[in-house]
Amino acid sequence: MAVNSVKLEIITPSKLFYRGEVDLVIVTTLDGDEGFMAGHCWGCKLLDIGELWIQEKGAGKDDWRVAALSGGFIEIKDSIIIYTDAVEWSEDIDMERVLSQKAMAEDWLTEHEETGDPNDVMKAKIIIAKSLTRSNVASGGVRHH
Amino acid sequence: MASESIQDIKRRIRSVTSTEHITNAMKLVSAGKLRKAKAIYEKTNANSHYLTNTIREMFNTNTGDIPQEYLAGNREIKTTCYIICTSSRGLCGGFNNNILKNAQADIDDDPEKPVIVAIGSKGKEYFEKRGFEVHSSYLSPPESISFLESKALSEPIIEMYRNEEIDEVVLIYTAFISSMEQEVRNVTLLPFEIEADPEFERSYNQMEYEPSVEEVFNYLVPKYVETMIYSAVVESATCEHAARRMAMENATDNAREMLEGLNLTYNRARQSAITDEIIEIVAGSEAQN
Repeated sequence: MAVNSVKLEIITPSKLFYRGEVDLVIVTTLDGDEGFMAGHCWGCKLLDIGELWIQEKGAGKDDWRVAALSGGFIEIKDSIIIYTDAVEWSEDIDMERVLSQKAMAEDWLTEHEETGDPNDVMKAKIIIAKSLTRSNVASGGVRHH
Repeated sequence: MASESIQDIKRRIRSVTSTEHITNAMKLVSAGKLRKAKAIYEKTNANSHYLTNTIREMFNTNTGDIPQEYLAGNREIKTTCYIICTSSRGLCGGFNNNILKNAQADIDDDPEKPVIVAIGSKGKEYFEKRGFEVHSSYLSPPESISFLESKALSEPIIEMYRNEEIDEVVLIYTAFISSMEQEVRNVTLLPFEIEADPEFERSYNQMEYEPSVEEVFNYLVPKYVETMIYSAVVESATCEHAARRMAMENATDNAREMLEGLNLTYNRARQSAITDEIIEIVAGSEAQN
């Protein structure tokens, strides 16, 4: 358990998703998973589609809050700010919608992977990546034992 | 003559009363929508400020590493893209007119053919009628726009800028000052105009950029454009409701004033009809005696 906590804000274009004191934040940057605690060296990093793990101030060692994050960037200063297009807590994820979206994108991709517009192919792949993250997060995330 | 004009006045009173009911109801609806829109606007506004600050800070601490593509002065400005935020519904006073007048003046000053992106059907109709080509548009009521929808709108614009099909992106929208006051604003989104601020407080903490300053900057600027467009749409929707509320309040007041006058004339006409009848009866009985 960390001695110091750090203020975390998660911002999306339309709302402030989260604000609170946390001990530890783990996000997926473009270079892989990275964790941040209070007193981290300042920085600004781009995020990949991935999972967000936070341990709130005073929470137990295995007490995590998990959310699905669809890219964005993180700014680490005296406080930490995550700016993203979309983010969902694991408990708010609608699995049915995720699976149907994923199935649709996969069907489309099997037919159009070679012939389709490269932009559309990329979009379909992003949809699949996002659905995978969401379904992972909904079932507890990669760090789930 | 008297009875006919009494009928006419009565009909007018009825019609003005129903107009007053409608405008009053619309006023109340707009007031409710304004409150809702204002709440969203306040949040997005804080967001775009935050993004701008991050970019400014990056620029001031890493001037050398910033890619020039998005910055002012890197190429000659020929084609300009105008993004014009109007409403999709009428009855909001001078709201659309102010915006369109401003946009038209800007476009008239521009010797090159403009690329027009219309948000709200009023703007689209206006420019199509005048023979302009509207490049793309968003026509549903702007207050319900989601970030994804606005992203779909702004992505092609950024793409065109990158491909040098357009050299400047100007956003024309109505800024919200207060419920009583709104103002048309022109903002140049791209190229990004920024100057190194000598008074900028350099922090002793060196920022670490990952994967690189260049890539972070290339990510942030389009993000900034997207966020600005989104917040402009939200802000302009807030203004639309404020303008409509004002317009409807004025209309209701006018209708009430008219009703007062009409009631007076109606009573006067009715009184003179009664007086006429009494005179006739008195004159008749006097003739009999």
